[in-house]
Amino acid sequence: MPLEPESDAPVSEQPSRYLELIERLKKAGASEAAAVDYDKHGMDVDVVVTPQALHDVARLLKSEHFALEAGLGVDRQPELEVLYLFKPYGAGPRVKLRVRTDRDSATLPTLSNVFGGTDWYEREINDMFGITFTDHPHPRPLILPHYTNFHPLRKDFHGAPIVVPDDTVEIPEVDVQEAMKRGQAEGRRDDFFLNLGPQHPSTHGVLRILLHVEGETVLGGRCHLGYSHRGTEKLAEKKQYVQFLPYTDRMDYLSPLNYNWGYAKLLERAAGVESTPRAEAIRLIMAELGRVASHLVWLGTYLLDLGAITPFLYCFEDREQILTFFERVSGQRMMTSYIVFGGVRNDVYPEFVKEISEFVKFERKRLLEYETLVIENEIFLMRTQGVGKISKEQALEFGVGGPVLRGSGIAYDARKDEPYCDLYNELDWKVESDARGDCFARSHVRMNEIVQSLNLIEQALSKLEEGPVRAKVPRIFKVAEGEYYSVTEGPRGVIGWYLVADGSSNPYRLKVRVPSYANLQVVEQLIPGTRVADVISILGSLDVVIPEIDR
Amino acid sequence: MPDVLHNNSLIVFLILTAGVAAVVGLFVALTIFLGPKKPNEIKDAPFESGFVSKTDATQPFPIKYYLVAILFVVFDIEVAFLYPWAVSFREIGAIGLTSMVVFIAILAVGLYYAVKKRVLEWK
Amino acid sequence: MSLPEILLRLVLAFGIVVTFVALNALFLVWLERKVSAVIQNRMGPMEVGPIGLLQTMADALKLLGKEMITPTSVDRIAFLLAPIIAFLPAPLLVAAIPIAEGVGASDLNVGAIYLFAIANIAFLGILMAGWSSNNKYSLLGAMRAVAQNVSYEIPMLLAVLTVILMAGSLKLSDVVAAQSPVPFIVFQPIAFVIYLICGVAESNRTPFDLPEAESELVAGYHTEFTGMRFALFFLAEYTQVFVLSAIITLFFLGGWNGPFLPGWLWFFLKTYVMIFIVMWLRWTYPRLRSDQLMNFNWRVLLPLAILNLLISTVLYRGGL
Repeated sequence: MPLEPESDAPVSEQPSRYLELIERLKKAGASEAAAVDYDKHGMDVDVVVTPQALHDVARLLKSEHFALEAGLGVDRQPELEVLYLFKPYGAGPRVKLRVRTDRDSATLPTLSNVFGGTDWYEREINDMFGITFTDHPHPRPLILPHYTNFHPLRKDFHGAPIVVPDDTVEIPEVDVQEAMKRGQAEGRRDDFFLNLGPQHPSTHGVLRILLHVEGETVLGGRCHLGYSHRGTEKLAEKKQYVQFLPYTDRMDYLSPLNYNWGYAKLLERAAGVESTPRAEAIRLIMAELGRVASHLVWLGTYLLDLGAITPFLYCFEDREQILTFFERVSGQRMMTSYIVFGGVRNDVYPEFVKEISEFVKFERKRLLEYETLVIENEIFLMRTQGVGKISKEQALEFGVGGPVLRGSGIAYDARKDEPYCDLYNELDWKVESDARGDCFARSHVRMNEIVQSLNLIEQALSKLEEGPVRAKVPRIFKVAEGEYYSVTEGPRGVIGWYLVADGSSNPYRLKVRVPSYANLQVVEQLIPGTRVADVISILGSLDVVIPEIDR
Repeated sequence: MPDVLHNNSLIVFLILTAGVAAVVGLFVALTIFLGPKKPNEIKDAPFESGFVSKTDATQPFPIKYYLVAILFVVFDIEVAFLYPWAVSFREIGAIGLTSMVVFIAILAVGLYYAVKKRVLEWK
Repeated sequence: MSLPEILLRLVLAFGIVVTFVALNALFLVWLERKVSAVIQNRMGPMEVGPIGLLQTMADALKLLGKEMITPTSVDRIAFLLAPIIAFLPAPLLVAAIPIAEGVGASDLNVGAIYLFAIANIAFLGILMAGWSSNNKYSLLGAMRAVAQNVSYEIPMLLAVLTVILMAGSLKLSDVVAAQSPVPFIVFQPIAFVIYLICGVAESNRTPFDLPEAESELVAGYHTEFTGMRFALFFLAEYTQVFVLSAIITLFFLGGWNGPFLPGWLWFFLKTYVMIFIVMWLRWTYPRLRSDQLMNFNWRVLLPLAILNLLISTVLYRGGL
């Protein structure tokens, strides 16, 4: 069943502020460009381009400071479609760029020479849909093993045996091969290749970075992913909308609630349901607690990466309290599945308000300690200042999110700029940012964000009014045909859910835009010329969660 | 304690070295008997984060390490000269003092030169 | 003295030294775990023996029964010898440290030089371990270890030189005697700080634990070592901490000089306070980076040490 793009209102009824942009896009070569209802679909402008015009349109977007948010493939049957989502981090429309190719040739030009960040997205699309991107700089599987010969997200794929060849030795990337050859030809034997991970204490999960090292100096490195790939996006197509909720917990084990919220928001947007005021306040409190917990884990593990062991135990002690709240509220410490379609699963326990406000007071005191003992420590400053600088341009090109983005001086926060919860507008808080762009800036932003989150929690507690915690929702429901996008701000950045619905009770295609994906991708740009110790420091400062990337 | 032990550090050193090496060797030998021996291919491969190493790890150190080593030798020998001087400092008087100040000054100038030449810039 | 008598004394002294090294290292491991536990707001080992005192003993016994893996691609001779050579200096150093007036395995007339000469043998073991493992992490660890230890040796020796200058002897008991009633730390505070920093750097402990940086190099130079071989590196490190603290006690804190209490008690008291400070450092600070470590040494510590030596020479000559 081929899916048609949603019908648009006549141009005259479209919001006038995007008309100019649409005109410019058309001038640059877009074959179709139309405004979309943001409230209903979560997207502002829908652009269709031909493969030939793709670069020109993308260049236009780049010149207007649009950031790449995600890239995804959709099997439109019979055609294959690739979507690139863009958003200027600040005021401006959310734009999706659609480009199609037919099933048999399945070839498109790469966009990675305009937006470097599409590199990984295109490689993943190549794995999942079998679309070849011409002139791609690193044509190598990203998620799937290199010996697979099927494309799981195509609709005509119904499972295939994985045949592991006896000789699973992978072929290194072109640039690695070249570097090896060059080294041999020049007779230089100082340099070598070092596998950092997957079994390594500091890769935060099962990430493998193939480093090209000369002594202590890193000449370059490439990330290898896919060690904890679970095929969540394919699973989603086989599950009903409500059944999929528990899977959202398992994307990012440090902030399950933020993922719950994003998915609930997506369904609410698609079904046109509003959650109740009490539920919104509880959601906010729980999600912010999740953010605090996640940032605390970051602080502990980052210091662990830098060689200090003690802060880790203090941070986990604090986090333990938060997990206990989660357990008392939802019955689960980590995989909460608490924020559900239409509200929250159950009401909080009676002492909730008292206990949380006590915790907030306690945590403020602890933060002061961390600030003076850890963040102001001379060695910490030496290890973080000036290390791993991400420029504004890089941040936009790779679409990094969260504290990594704000640590590069762009004060974009989906909570403020695209409020998915009205309370964020009502409460008094500010978006933290730091223009320095280095590891220290990111650390600084995260530390301040914990304080802001505590502010939010404290104020939201007073807004907790009596009432139902879940709106009336159908147990099994169908989403009307169309495409929907929802954005929430997770601890690591924008969590985006892109849903293509075909009117049935299962998603036709569900893509999750995970923040760590873009945040980690930028690491390949940052490490050449640094030292092995810096790689660890940079990796830690990006606060990536690998299972989230692999999904 | 007999004088031979007090004043002849070489003998003490040799005897102790032999003794300690024997004790340590005994311990290592003991674990060879006590510990299990179940070698397999993966266990016996060098650890590289779970990957089979593509390149050999026994290779020469980068040149900058040799620079540090040479600097160390230079300074260490100079320091070795300073020790007897320090012991006899009281006896040798003003001449000893001035000559050693000159000596240390040369040492300092050498260090300054090395720093300025960016030999010690550890990149 | 007859030959059998000499031999008997030798064996006795040797036995005491080796037993002390082993027990002291086990105790220090326990102490480190307790100190870290206190700093980190937890209990530490509690199960084996009273307040977990026998825990490290149990661990050592366990390591005795562990498989010693020798990877196929290692340089066998160097790999075999490395832990032994790394451990070797530990008892040799302890043997040369007097703990009170006339008490000690030996009191050499060139004690100071002997200590610093022997201490350097350990780096040879580390270098052999890292290089022979045929493991890139080990190799990086060995590179770091050599560069670090070699560099920090010089300011360390220059710092001690000021003490030797004031004592006028290389014999450790003379150095201690010269510090009665005022210990040298009062006259040489800068030398003391330089020595402490270099000493911690030489014993490869945080914030200078680059050669075995767990979060970067997995376990650095001893990644491939298992069982008793690993234990030897471990014991060597703790003995090195003891020796470092004992040397500071002898050279800067007045050794066994002190009122009321017997000399040996003063000695151990001061030494263990120093050990505690070294442990405290480890559980407080993050790790430096290799270039910062090297630059700090060559640009800050070494000029400072030379300056300190010059000034104290002139001052001392001027009648101090």
